[in-house]
Amino acid sequence: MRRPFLILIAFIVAARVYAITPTQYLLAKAWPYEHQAKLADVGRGVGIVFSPDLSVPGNCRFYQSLGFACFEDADWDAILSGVRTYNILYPERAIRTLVLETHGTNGNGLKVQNSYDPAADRSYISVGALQERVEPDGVRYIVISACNSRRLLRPSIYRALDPYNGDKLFLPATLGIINASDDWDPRRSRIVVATPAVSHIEQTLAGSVRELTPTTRRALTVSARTLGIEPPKQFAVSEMLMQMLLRDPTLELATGESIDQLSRDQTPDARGEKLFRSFVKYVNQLSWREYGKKKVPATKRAAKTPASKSASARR
Amino acid sequence: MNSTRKTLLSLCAALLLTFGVYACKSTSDQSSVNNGTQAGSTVSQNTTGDVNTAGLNNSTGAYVGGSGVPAQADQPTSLDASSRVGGRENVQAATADNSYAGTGQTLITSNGAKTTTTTTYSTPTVVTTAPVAPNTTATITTTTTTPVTTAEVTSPTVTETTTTTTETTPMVSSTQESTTTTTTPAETTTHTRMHKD
Repeated sequence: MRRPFLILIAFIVAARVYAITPTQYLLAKAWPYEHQAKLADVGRGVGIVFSPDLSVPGNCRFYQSLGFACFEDADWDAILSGVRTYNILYPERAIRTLVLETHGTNGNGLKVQNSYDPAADRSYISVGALQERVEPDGVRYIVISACNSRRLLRPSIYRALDPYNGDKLFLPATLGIINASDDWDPRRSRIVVATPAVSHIEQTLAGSVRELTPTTRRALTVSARTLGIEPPKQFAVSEMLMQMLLRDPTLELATGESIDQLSRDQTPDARGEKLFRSFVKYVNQLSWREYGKKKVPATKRAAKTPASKSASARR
Repeated sequence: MNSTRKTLLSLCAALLLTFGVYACKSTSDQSSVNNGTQAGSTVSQNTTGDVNTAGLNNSTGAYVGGSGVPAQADQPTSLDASSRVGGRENVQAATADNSYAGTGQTLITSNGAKTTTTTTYSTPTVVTTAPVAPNTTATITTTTTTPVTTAEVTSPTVTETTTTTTETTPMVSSTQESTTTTTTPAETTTHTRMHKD
């Protein structure tokens, strides 16, 4: 009588330990975790879209060195054209998941802009239009890392944005607004749109490559040279992107559920700093696994040094 | 009989008084001349009897630099106020001011040709100089408004504050001396943060 009871308890405990949350399942599908991935392949199959005012100079070079496809523009048309071109040119690294590091305009529209100057280059797109445009290119997952992103899924603005919403953050669309076409049916879309389960104001941290170990910097330089680009010097990384990369258990994603409530909550600075340290540690580990082990043993170095010296002396 | 006379005399006196007051009132209701002077404008009169109307805004809006002679009481005025109570005061009709026709008129004909006429005007010479009253004090008040600009600068740069407090107890004797140093590092933010809104 007692033994079956213990077995049942053990089974329940084991089930809870090995249970996969919806977020983990979604991440496993959208961004498969490869244990043996090289530094230059971390972002394979993932495209990141940056609003220029949420980025730093040379930011895309950092992500390209990590294997991501990176787009930074204030014009959504240019970004969408970039996604299409990339998937045509690099079918072996085609973008399946698009991560949006853009503004949500308090949940009134996905915004990319150069600055807050009303006359600055700026454009908006609805979630439906984004699905409609990138689905033929092979994109299957869209992860929105923007402010109040679940408000973007409201049925009233899902297909077409309301330019007269009265929000002061909805600055003039100097480069236009992209809405879904009238005959587009969201129920037929195969794209999964994921947002943070809890709406709040997302934050991005700017870091320097100098904060990484010399091995990581060397690995980034090698990767950049392979791609024919200049090695990066700095980068901007959002808390949500770090959480996804680190498979943070506190990250909660939701799909297809909109909310109306506007949130002004911000995450504490300490949380972002902690995530940043973990991110740097993760990248350093990846590069050490790839390059650190290949160090020349000390004995061999000692043996080679005199020879090289003598060779130079002979010249 | 005597009382009757007194009564009649009183009545006559009352009637005379009434007529007298009425006559005086009619004489004082003289017509006033409306020379177009705006309320608040001042007309100074010197000892010569000339009136300085320089700077007054006449009906044409043009600057008038001369002075006029005040109308005499016995001279008929072109304007007279109605003696009736509540009567409307006559207003002097302004004469058309054709003295300035403008400059640079361009005539465009039907064939597109343009004919530009340029007329140059000179400042009219004031014939009669307005006598300037002595002791005229001109007060010029200049108000200068300095724009106030408030710049709010948010700097997310790295800040590290170190507060060092050094307490030195005065030496009481040659053997007693104590120095306490307390260092309190403030909480720091090491990375620039950008908010997605």
